[in-house]
Amino acid sequence: MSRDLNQFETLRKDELLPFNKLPIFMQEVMLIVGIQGIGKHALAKAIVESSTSKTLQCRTATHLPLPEEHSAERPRIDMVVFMIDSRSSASYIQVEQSLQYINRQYFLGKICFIATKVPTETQNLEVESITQLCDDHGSCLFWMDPTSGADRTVVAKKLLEMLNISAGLKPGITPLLTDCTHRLLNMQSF
Amino acid sequence: MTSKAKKRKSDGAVVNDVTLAEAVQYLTSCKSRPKIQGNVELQNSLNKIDCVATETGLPAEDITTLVSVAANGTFPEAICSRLIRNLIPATVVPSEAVIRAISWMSTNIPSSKIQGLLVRWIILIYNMLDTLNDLHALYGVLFYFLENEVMCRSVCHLLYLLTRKEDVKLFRVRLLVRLQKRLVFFPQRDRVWLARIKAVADRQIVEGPVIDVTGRYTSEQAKRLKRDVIPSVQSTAVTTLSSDLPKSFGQSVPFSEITSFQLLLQNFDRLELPCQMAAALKNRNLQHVLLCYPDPSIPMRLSYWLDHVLCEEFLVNPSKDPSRAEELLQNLITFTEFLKESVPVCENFLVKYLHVWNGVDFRPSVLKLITRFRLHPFKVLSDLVLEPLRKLFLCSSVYCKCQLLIMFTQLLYNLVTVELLRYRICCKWQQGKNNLEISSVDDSNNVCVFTEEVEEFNPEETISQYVEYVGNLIEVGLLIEQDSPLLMHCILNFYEVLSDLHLEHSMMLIILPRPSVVYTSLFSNSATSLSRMCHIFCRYRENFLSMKNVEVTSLSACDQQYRIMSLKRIKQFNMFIMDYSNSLWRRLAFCDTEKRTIFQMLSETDLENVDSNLYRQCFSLYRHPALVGYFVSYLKPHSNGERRLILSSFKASSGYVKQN
Repeated sequence: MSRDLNQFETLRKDELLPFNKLPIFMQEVMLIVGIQGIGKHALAKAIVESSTSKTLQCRTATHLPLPEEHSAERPRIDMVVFMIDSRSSASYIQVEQSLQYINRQYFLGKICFIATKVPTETQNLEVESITQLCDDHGSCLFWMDPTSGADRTVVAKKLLEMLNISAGLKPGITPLLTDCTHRLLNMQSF
Repeated sequence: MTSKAKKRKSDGAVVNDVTLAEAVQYLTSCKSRPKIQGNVELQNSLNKIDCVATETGLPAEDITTLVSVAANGTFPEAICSRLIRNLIPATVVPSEAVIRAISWMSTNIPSSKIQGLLVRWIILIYNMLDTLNDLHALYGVLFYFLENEVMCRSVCHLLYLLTRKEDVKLFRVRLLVRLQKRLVFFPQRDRVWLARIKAVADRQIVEGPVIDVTGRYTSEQAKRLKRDVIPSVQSTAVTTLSSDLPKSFGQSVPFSEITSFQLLLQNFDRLELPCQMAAALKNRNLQHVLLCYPDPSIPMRLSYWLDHVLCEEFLVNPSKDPSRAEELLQNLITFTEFLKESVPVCENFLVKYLHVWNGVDFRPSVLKLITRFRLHPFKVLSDLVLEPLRKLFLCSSVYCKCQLLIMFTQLLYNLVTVELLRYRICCKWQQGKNNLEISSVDDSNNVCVFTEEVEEFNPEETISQYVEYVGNLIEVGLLIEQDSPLLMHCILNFYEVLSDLHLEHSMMLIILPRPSVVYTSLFSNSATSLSRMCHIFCRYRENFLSMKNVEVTSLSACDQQYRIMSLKRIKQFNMFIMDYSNSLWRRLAFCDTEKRTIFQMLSETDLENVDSNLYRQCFSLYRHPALVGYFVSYLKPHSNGERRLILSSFKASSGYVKQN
């Protein structure tokens, strides 16, 4: 990440924080960020349908920071999902800007990216630039066909698994621990 | 009729009331330059053809007629091009139609735009032609069309499909090399058109046989042709193999006539290979040829084809019908399993595909193909293949995790049994080739069909880092799935292969299982996990013993280093054994009196208030939660009908167990 490290030290008022509120018992909250018309609500619906838990919340936003009003009533957000539309560079830029309002704690396995799979003729963004963005933030990237309901369910199930871990509902495991299996983070000597 | 109604009718918006036969009849009977504006009959005929073509496709004889109508210059360009775009066959296209198209093109009556369109149409329906020989006879004529600037690309594409070995002549090659500087790829035009043709063909498959045509293919075969990606064996020389007469010396035998292995052996020295090597994916005899023919161009031809088709079917233009792609993958799997070798272009494809894969489509086939991967430096292997799989592993269901672990086990097995040896031989061969004169070394090595430059790296390093990577995933996976017995089963499979690296695969490498797996087995509720872990320990012991007795002087420096490193692990291995025997046999669980145990879950102060016998015995053979059922059924014959078990009888039996 190219941002100045000192910037992290001063706590910004509009920054999204993972631990500033107490968790609600057995509750998981996911925030989906992406431009209008990208299919956030369809995805959220698929997630809620695949979930067995009754206390799952999916919230959506077009960009960050979240508005200041009602921020007190908002629950703690366990995971942030960014959606990128491969057809529009505006969505890429918006995600890039929104990323600046995320506290660094989220980057320890509490965010992930979804890029839409579109026919090559209409693809506007380079695949490399999307994967580069995700690699820079050390997080997962899923490709999703926005027109296929089956594909959406597949992605929704994966997101649920990640959410379970990042909301702390799996005993003995944290998002950071799962990240430690990465080759570059693997400290265990051979 | 009012003028308004008339106008509507002339736009062609009115429902057709003509049959297809009438429409074709009308178009053929038209004199040159008929009235277009307000010609109701013409509009109706065109609409009818449009409608039939999109729904069921046109019958073969109508296609022949309509090609002439479109090309003979009776109608203006717009109508001709509409007609050509509607030449969608119901089953097959008679070669007569194509020949007529080419003969009209030679007269220069149709405009160059129409000529170009006709060539593009021939390319699209190429696989549906009833016979290729007639079209191939016009090869020389087609070659002259290359001079035409508009058609050049399309004609190149057609020639690419049509070229056979005997067509390759020096003057043609020269011309094409000159052209190649301008044209790099065939354009990916006509997608919509192709989609329409495919849609009709797919519908025909579903609806069953419609028309039986005489010619090369029956309708059944023609339907298969449309659906199959992999071409069938076709040869240029069409001679019939008369089984009574022996072939005269020097006469080549077309491969399409090799129907059995026996015939292959008899004619091995005078085979004429098929036009498309891709047929090898389905033809076992051709695979035998691929294995032992010295010509390096054969695997290369297959590679080019595979590269293109895999990209087209999965990445660029994924078909809505997954059975086609699945069949391709299945054939590729059978092919690689037969060769015991992966195809490099297939590896490249998998690397690209894994990055956009959703983890569900074709999962068993994709994972099976990965198990045949070649040895690469671990950094390469990790970044290209293992990283996407790691991400999938961490956020998938327990069944998918198990599938992945089975795949990891098979990959490990493949690396140590096949690929390690192949890598060593390839390295030696490559060094020999670099040092010596090229002529003195065989041009192809005898361990791979698909020869590739190998990078110099340490293969043992790759394998041990790979095991490390799988170990990490296993530890995290066990935590996420909360020691699922199914996952444990797959993990133990992995360690069973790993434990025998030295004895079975003569590697100087022994890597121990992760402590978390060892202790999960010890404290698990499943007797299978416990006993399989004990079995794995026995295998490790034999491997260690055998490695100790190896003559050090006969080893390479690198192997010696690995041997020393592996033998250092005996200390940790002994600790595992001590813990197991302390818990199971000696009733001394959680005791570290001898300072050998490596698991110390509880500190002394925690245990002060607990009866020491209780926790020391709780994982002994007769109280272990996994074994207590077996223990009871063992004791039942000794209990003399009493409900309480008598401890003295147990003591005797425990002695019995020890003796044996």
